[in-house]
Amino acid sequence: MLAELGHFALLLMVVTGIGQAVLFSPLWLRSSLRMFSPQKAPATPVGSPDFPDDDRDGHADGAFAPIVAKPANLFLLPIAILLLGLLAEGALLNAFIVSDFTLPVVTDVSHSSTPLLYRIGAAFTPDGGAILLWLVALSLVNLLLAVQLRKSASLDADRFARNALSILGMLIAVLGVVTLIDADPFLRVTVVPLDGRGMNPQNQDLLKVLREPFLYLGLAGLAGIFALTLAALLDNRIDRQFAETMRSWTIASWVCLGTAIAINAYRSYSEQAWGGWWYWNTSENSLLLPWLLATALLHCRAVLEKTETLRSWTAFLGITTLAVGWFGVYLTRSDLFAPLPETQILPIDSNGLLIGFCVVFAAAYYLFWRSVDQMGEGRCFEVISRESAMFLNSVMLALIAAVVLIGTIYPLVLQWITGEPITVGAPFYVEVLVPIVLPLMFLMAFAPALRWRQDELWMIGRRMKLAAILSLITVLFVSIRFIDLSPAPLIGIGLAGWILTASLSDLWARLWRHPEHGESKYRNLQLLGPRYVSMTLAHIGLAVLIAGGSASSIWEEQVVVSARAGQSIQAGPYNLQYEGVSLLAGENYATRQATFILYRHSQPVTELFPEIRYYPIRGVETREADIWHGRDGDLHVSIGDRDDDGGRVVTVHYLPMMPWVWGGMLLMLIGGCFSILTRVILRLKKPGVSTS
Amino acid sequence: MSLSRAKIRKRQRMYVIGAILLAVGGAAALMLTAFEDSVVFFFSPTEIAEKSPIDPDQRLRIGGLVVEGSVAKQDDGQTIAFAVTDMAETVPVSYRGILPDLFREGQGVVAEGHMSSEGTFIASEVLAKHDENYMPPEVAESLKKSGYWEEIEAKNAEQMRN
Repeated sequence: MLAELGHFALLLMVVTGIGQAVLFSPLWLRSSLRMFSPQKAPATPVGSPDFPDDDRDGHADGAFAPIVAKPANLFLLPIAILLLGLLAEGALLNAFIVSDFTLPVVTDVSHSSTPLLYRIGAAFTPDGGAILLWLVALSLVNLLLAVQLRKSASLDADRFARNALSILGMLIAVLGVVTLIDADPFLRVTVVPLDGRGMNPQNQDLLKVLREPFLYLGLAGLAGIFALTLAALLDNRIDRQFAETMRSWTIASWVCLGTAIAINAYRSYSEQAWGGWWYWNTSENSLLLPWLLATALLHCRAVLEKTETLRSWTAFLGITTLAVGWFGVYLTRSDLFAPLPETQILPIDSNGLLIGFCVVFAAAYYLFWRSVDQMGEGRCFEVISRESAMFLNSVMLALIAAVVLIGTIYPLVLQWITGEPITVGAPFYVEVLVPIVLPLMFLMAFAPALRWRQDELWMIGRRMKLAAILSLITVLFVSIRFIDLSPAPLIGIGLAGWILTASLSDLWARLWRHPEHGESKYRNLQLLGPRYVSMTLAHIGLAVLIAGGSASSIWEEQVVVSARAGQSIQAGPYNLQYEGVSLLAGENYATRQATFILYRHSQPVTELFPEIRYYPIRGVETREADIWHGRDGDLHVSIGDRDDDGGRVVTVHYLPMMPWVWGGMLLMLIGGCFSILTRVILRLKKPGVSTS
Repeated sequence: MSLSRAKIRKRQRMYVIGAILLAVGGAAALMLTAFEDSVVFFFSPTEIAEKSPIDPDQRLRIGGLVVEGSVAKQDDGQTIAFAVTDMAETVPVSYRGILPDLFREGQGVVAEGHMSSEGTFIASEVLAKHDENYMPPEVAESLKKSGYWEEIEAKNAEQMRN
């Protein structure tokens, strides 16, 4: 019964979405008429409390004004959509929790013996469940956007808010229809199976369960950006105000997508035989693509807010980021890429997702193309200025995204054309991306030290002197200490040092040397502002991540031995003593758990328990590695089969500086969170005051 | 003033467009060369037999079914030897390391590596990050080519019924 209710709620959600799109949008026509007429829209600041006499404007414009709505109108439909979405999601989750096998989705990926947490997690793995989760996230974004834009003092701002919400309503309707047509999760069967086929044991992992909400929240945030961008394009107001509105959305989706990537990387790392923490497979690439473009957007948006330049480029990125995210979902959900899919292969085709994608983005790009001429350019900036550095960086990020996209779909295209199956793997990406990433990182260190509008070369040289010397010393030290290094990781380490020292010396200069800042150090610290702090944190995070990645790829040690109980294995500074294997029962699996005692310089440190789990429902084994994050590196232990002679195959990886990779990711995310948190806190403290 | 400003703007636009073109062109050139030498082709055992001897430097993937009873451990205790077949031809494979979770005799497998001069495939990676009743599409394709697909399907259906 509840499933039917959920089904109905989903249907109603589509209807309400269409309703929101239509009711809020008598403006569409009007705005597009206005857009194609030569005069520009007046640049009235949106939502600014300093404009109390906008009513007069409204009366002057009264003949064309849309139906003037009471504020409640803006909330009613988004709240209804969110409630309906929660109802549908709740119904689906309930079906999974009570193991209602009349629903084929439940039968396919769940079993009555699956633990509760993973039954909930399983609800997000089939196509229908995943898109439903996306829909719920979208309706949350929809409501938040309505709340954000509620203070529409002027008619222009009101129209802007309504356009944006109307576009989001349309997106919700499209995705709802896709869910209903492609992969309706609420369909029932009459012949009820006794039990389910069980969750794919490779998905039975806490991190996997956590990854999905972050991924879809990030994508929903991108949809919010998309709606704001289109609404701004309609009104021809890609300006400072628009950039200000978009700020939290870019950072929030960047953080969510980054979290999903970090979780994905850690999971691939801890599962044996998944090819390390980054493998360039389709599901990883489809996460990386929107994140790269969101990073580019983050920087362009800052330029737009500061100087009102890069208008068309920012608008383009605002649309494309969602396009790429959506396409990524399509790629992972379709069974086009089957060499190493992580998703379930169910007989569901996701053509609706592709058709919806084509329709939505054809319209969006058409709109962009029509309005780009009228956009007008902002003030000009010099070649040597912070704007141009940030612009160049965002172009390079977009270029990286393009390379990743082409590398991902190239095998598919080639197979269509020639029928020859090929794989594009890590060697391709390394070969192409290293020459792009290295200059990107080189430039990245400059941007914070450059001035807006115009700067002088010799001034930058003076500012960057210390960083250049320090990073050169690092490179020299590493290359003398380890003579037979290949150049690429060495350059990676050098550039990581370059970014790190440049960030720190810039921070130093601002804290201690800056003449404009007051004498008190505390005052200087306050003057830095949350943006600067979060930017520095993220940049340092990236430097740490790159240093860790390069170092661990150089100095990685792998030991494969056939071990007997009591045998000790040497890896780096660590010594592992194998204590044997015991059979244990897990929640819905049986496990052979090996015990290792870890010694560092013959001091016992900890115990490690890698496992081989056997899941009887699917008859599948999984191998869970156990990892020790030490101060000088990660020790990664996994076990294999028993040998004929009674030993057990043990694989030990010693990855020096690997904790830096995780720490770097964490720092970047902390940087993003810090930016959002300070903004939220300031908002709460002084309502109506922005943090710029 | 306005004229010089327009000039400046024009020059700047030239710079920007030039930089973008340079970047895009460079990336395209990089990609083309990379496609040439780091794309990995997939071969079925029959194709390997046809094309042998294959250059040992060329990285490639092979796929097929693991021959039942062929998995054996070498004397050093770490190298595993098995054979991959598409029911028409068989290629011996050796791999050093731990085999992935879903590696089974009689099941589909994809391995990446290179051919040795003796005709053994030296795998550096054995890939099986997938569902247990799922056949890698390349493997299915090569089985269809060799004409044994129906037989395998029937066998699988039989197993499902039991």
